[in-house]
This record gives sequence, C-alpha cells and structure tokens, in this order.
Amino acid sequence: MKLISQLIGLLFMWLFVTIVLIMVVLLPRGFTEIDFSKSRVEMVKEYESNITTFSWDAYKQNITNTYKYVKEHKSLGQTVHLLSVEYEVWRYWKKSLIILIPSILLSMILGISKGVYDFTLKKRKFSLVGARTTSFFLVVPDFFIILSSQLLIMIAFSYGLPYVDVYGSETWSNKILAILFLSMYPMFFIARITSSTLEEQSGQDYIRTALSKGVSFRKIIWRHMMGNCWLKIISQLNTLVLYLLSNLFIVEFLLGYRGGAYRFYRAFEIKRTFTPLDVMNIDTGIVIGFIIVFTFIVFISHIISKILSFYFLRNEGNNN
Amino acid sequence: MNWNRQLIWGLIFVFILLFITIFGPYLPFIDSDLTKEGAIISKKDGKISLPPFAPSSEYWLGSDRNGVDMFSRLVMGAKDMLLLVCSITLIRYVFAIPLGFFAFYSRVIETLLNFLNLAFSFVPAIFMIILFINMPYLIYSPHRVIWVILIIAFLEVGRVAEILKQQVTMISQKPYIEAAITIGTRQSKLMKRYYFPVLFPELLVNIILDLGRTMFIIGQLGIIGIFISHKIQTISADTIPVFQIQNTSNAWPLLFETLLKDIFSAPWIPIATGIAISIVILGFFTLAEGLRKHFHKGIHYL
Repeated sequence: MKLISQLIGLLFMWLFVTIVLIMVVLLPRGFTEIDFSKSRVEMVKEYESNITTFSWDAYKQNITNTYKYVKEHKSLGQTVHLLSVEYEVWRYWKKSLIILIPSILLSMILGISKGVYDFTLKKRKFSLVGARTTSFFLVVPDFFIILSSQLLIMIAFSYGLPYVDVYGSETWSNKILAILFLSMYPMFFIARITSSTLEEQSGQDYIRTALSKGVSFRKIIWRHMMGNCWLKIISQLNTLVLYLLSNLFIVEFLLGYRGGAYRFYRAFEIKRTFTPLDVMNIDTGIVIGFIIVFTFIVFISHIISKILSFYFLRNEGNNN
Repeated sequence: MNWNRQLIWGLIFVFILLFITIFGPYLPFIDSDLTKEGAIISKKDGKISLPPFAPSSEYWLGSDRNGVDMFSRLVMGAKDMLLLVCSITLIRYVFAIPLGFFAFYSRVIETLLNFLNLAFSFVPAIFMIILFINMPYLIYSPHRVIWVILIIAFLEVGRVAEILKQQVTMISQKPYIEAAITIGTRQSKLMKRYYFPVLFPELLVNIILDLGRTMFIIGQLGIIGIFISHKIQTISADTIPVFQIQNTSNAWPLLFETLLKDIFSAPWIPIATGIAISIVILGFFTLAEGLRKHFHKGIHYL
C-alpha cells in the first residue's frame, strides 16, 4: 500500500514537471511583424522590442492553440521536415535507445564489479588500477577524455592500425564507442558508491562472525555484505539515468551521433546569425515530444528504483 | 612527521592559479593584447603559413583560428573563467546555506526542499540551462551574464541544501548536542560552539568541490556551443539589418566554439583547452581531498 501511494506520488510529480516544462517552452518568443518603411535603426529597435516584450495574451494564445491542435489532430504537429512530430521523435529516439539501454546495464554491472574490486584492492599500498583510477575518471571531465580518445584513434589509423569509424551513427563502431563513452562517468560513479557502502559495512560484527566460521572472502563480500548494499546502490538508479541523459547531449554532439538528444538540442537551438525577419521560434512540437520522452525515462527509472528498494527493504525486514 | 601531500599539492595549485590570474598578463612571454596574426612568413624557406599555427617555439600551444597565441589566450582567460566559476558557486551557497538550515528547523521548508529536489531529479540539468539561456529575453538582456550565473547557480541549490540539511541533522543527533541543550546552552551559542566547528570544514570542502563541478558544467556548455556573455552586433548587409551573436569574454570554453572543425585541422586548440580545464578541476579536487584529510585528523584519535 505504501509502495502504491509512493508510485502515485511519483506519477503526479512526473505530470507536474512535464507540464511546467511545457509551459516554459510555450512562453511567447515575440513576433516579427515590423514596419519596413522605417529606417534601419528604427527597424532594429522595433524588432528588439517585439522579441523581448512579454505579453500574457500571446502566451495564452500559444497555449490554447497548441491544446486545440493536439486535441483536434491527435498529434503534436509537423516538423520542419514535413513529418509528424511523433514519427520524427521516435525515429531519432530509437537511435538513442540503442546506446542508452546498454549503457545503463553496462555502467551498473561494470560499476558494481569495479566498486567491489576497489574495495578488495584497498589493502594494498600501490594499486594503480584501484580506487585511484576511479577517482581519476570521476574528476577529469569526460568530454576531454572523449576528445583525446577520438584523436588517438585517428592518429592510430595514420600509423597503420585498423580503421575505426569515429563519427556518425550508422556503423557498429559508432554505437560501441558511443556506449563506452556514455557509460564511462556513470560507471565510476556507481563504483564509488559501491566501494563506499562496502566500506561502511566493513566494521560490522557479522563479518567477524562469518570470518571466524571460515566463510570464504568472496562469499562474505557477495552474499553477506552486498546483501546489505543493494538498497543503497539501487536507490541511485535514477541519479545514474539522469547523468546518462545529461551526458547524452555531450556524447551525441561530440560523436556526431544523430540521436534523440542531438535532435532535441537542434530543436531549441537559436541561430547565431539572424535578421529581423527571423522568428526566434523553436521547434515547439519536437521539444515538447522530447520533454515527454526524456522525463518519462527518468520516471520509469524512479519507479524501478522504488519497486526494487521496496523489495530489498522487505527482504531485510524478514531476515531480521 | 606525516605530510598531507594532497593538501600541499592543492595549495601549490591554488597559489599558481592565483599567480597566473593576477600576474599572468604582466609576464614577459604573455601577449596581453592577444594580437591577431594574419600570416607568418618562415625565415628559413620563405613559406607562408596561415592561422591556426601549429605548436612551435614561438607559439607554445599553437594558435587559435585568429592567429592568437593559445598560451596567452588561456592565461588571459583564466580571470574570466575563475570569476564566473566562483560567482556561480558563491551565489549557490549563499542561498543554499539558509535553505538547508531552515529545512532542518521547519517542516514546511523541508517539504518544499524535498519537492524541489524531486522535481529537479526529473530533468537533466544541462537541458534546463539550455532552455532558459536560449530564451529571447535573455539573449537580448543587457544583464545576460547575471541571469545566466543565477540560473546555473539556482539549479543546484536544492542539492547543496539537502546535503547541508543531512549534515545538520546528523550533528543534532550527537550526544554532545543533547548534553548542551540539557545544561541550558542558548541557541546562538549552540550554533557557534557546537554546530559551526563541525559544519565549517565540510562546507569548505564541498564549496571547493563545487568549484570543480561548475567548471565542468561550463565546459560542457561550451562544447555544445552555449556561452555565457555575448553581444548582439549588427553586421554589414545591403538589404535589411543582419544581427550576429558575438562572444565578448575570454573564458576558456569559447575555444570549443569550432570544436568539430578543429579536431581535424587544429587539434591543439580543443586539446589545450581541455587540458587546462582538467588541470583546474583536478587541482580543486586535490585541494578538497587534502583539506578533508586535514580536518579529519583531529577527529580520529587512533
């Protein structure tokens, strides 16, 4: 019962956040009707004031127009490519999902193993691959690591190593590289959390008992200690997904991977050069579509994390 | 004597960074005017080369697309970068500290804080920043820099306040607080003598770590082509007026502007910028870790 009320709370939160974001997107971005009989200086001034003055009427009209359109056509509208928004969002989002889902799994699995490895290695003094690499990858910005690896791959090719396609979204190497780069930071983030929760457990009495009974080291860690750690690790799932989505913008941009985040970014980017005839408009339909998709992914991860924590919490209660 | 090596390296880093920011422009090998070089003719064979110039004895880290020496550019940009990062972090903490404290005392504010954190956990931070910064109101605003700083600062106020609230709650459960309350210590004294000495080191460490985080976010924004300060310039055209958004600051992420082109033709531009950003983040991290170790020394008795 408690779980269900929590899930319903999450659902309302998701709806709330999505609606607020859509409201922000629908804020009027000015109109471009200017009087061309005026002088250039006056035209510039008029354009600027048109763009930057906020009017409640325009805002209201924006909202009602969008609402009416959605209600009438059961669609968010048409994109600049004359396709329906739903089709285009799905077309690009499909490509992002191909790298996003493996990245979630990869960063979870590798992150937990790396965390356990860091914890067991801690006893030795010089452990180059241990906790020090974890903090190195957490500190050094991942865009720099991505940039330099791309450069290294290209240099390696000029020295006769096999050709690897670095830019694009079509070949297998594109996808594998994108998955690797995307899951890099979240993986070490999970590793850090795993090793620190294990660290918290390490002083507990039950470990001494298990050791004295001759339970093997591996079994103590994976069976006894991790049993207490899952809860904490699982509760970080939504943070992990949030990091991945945030990173998706950077990775897709740097790799030229034409996925969802890239299309999303292009939809609300503004031009660097414009004339008074240009509307400062964004591709509202696409942006709304992607807002729903992005927040929905986080929503799902929240739900999974809640259900799993509920399950682990109950398990713990039964054991006691 | 067991030296705290991380703290020493961190302090050396801060010293060097401050030295470069303050005295960098006056150093003899720094071109403080950032002169743009059109083309150079080699003295040996008379060949003409156009910018961007590759790293050489004259241009240590190469030059950017305008022929400005990269090393001078980085040194001159350090001030803008540091000002930006520090102001964002400070504003964030100025708002987060009271929020964290009030959330500990008042139920209403605690609920508000939890709501805020849950709401923000649904949206990637970078998306929120792009959405707000690209609003026409902000593009034209004369106070754009201030707005952008406020937006980036406020996005993480909830997270910082939550950490602070947890720390205050943890301290409040310690026996010595109970003891102090029993003997009738006044609230103000309780703050000063019992909470503050434990909170201050943690706060300092977190602020320094946040400097690194902010640097990282600004770097990320630079990569996708969003810059903090700019002006709208009318450029020459025969027909109707044409506007161009031009960057006005020297901050480092601006060097990422032509990143996708540079990586093929002038890789030293993004790489040198990336290294500079990484070094600063690493430096802040080392300092924070060193300070944490330093403050914890007194707490462990064994």
